Amino acid sequence: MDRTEAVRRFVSDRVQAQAQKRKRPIDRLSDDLNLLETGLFDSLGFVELIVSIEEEFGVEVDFGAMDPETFTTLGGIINCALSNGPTAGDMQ
Amino acid sequence: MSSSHEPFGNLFEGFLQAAEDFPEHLALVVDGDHVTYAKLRDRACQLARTILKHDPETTYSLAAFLAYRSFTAYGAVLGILGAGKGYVPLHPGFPVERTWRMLERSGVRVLVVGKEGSTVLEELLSRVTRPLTVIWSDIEDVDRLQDSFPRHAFVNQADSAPEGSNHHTPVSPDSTAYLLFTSGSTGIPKGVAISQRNVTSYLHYLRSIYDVRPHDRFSQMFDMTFDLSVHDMFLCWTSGACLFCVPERSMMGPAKFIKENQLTMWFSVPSVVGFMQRLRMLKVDSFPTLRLSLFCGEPLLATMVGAWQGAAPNSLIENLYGPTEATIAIARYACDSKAEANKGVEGTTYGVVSIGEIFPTQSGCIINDKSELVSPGEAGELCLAGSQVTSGYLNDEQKTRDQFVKLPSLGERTWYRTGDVVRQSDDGKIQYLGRLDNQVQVRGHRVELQEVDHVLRRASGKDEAISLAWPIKTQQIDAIYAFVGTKEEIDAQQILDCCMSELPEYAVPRDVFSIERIPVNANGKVDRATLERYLEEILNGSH
Repeated sequence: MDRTEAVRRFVSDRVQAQAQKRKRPIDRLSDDLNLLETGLFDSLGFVELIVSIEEEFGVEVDFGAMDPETFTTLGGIINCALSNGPTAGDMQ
Repeated sequence: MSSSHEPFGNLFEGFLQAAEDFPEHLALVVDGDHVTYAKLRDRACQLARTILKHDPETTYSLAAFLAYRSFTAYGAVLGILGAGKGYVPLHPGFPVERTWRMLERSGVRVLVVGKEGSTVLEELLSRVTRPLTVIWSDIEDVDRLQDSFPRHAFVNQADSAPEGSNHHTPVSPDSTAYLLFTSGSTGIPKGVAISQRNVTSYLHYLRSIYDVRPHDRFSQMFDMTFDLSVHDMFLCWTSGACLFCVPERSMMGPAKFIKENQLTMWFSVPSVVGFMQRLRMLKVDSFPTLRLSLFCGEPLLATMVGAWQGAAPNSLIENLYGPTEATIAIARYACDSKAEANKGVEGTTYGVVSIGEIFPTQSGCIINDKSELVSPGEAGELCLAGSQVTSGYLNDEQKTRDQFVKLPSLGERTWYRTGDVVRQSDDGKIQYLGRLDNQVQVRGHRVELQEVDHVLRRASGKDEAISLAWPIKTQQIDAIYAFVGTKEEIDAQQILDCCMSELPEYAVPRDVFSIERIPVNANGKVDRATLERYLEEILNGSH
């Protein structure tokens, strides 16, 4: 599985699990789904999600330079993990 | 600063003086709108005239608005004040049931609505039996609303002409400036009416200690249902400075917002610092433009001061303390980040920064459970008195009698019992130790755990339901968790959904667990310590 796919699957699984927990099933995960505004995650839960992604993929995202608009969507958070990670090929 | 004026006697007068001195200055940046003092004044005065045209009677001293982080919301605050009334902020995101109760208890006849309130407007209006005047400016389909609710009158804000800019109804210092609701143990929020005298006392003192300039750029993080927003708006708008409304989606990590807008004045709850730390947003020298950073609403940790000072090297950092009943803040502590770091956790109490000293314009004392003054260095309940302290709760004599008391050793003065346990150290600084009862601060919002329990019992249909603050034994509360005592399986989500419809988001438990019996101690009281241990096992075990 390439890195892009691995990140996408990891994040999607987490989001689906949260949607199920909150009994808000989502038919199709679209990249512009805002994880905070839809009420899927509260701010604490969102920070936990980000930390879990960073730990899983060994990335450190520079959030200080970013608009939260750009990383609170499903597509945004996936891009963050991809664009800040170790070079491709480090993944097993 | 506007030195040519007499000190303002009420909030709107303070704003008008600044608008007269700095009509072309930006007063507000919200939602991409850049609003000058002149434009904001015109908007407020137009609304004030429209309100008075439809609700001229002075018997109704309050008016409400249902709007959120919009030009309509800020215009409503000023317009209602300009009409000589006190404002009642209603949050479109709060459960309708709660909002309806606030509307009923405040007795208002006028409701100003922004388009962000239109989703809950119909449900709210269908519950209100007394006729309301609904003033709108940007909602759609008003004709249909008028047909659906013939008992309410729908009025366009532009019903009055915008000219004649300096509209100002004289108000007495004792009239209400704003009415807010705080969490109550019976599930019914308590109404706290703050007078013009209360709030101008606060502002005049703050203006005397902080050098606020007409070119300052203020953050506006706080929700209007939270009194710290009054500080943001009116310390700014009585000085000719500009208020920058932080969009909701930026509130968790506002680093870029601070930088882009070159903010000079910061005010937030400490948990925002915690989030920013975890997202590594507090890099060295990130916010060089900040010159004053204030924190209030929950305990400030010494580690946060150090991190913030690194990111904002040119900023003073102060920790403020104050319950809604004593108007915004009544004690302050100027942090010295180097000293805090050196003191470490030992010098502070559990690593929490002192709340400093009561403002010299106000009074405080510490009492024991016999209502006597404690000996120096002893812990006790903090009591407050002075021009910032309100005289009681709205239409609730019992609660007022319980909390607003005379202290035998201190003469005839009435003191507000805060329910906060504090200790005064040798240097006169006050250390906050916690709550006397089961009130906790979740991300700065006051939550009465008994109120959550009350909702949980109804939601689960079980008599035994207990909520706990998490993490345990810290003062930095992240969330609430709950236990329901039952042998049957519970539908946790259904219970949480029910809580979500009755409680504000921050008070809704993050999860609910079933337990065969809620443990009790020898006195038959709930054994919270055992429950806390269970919770620790569940949360840490599953992590």
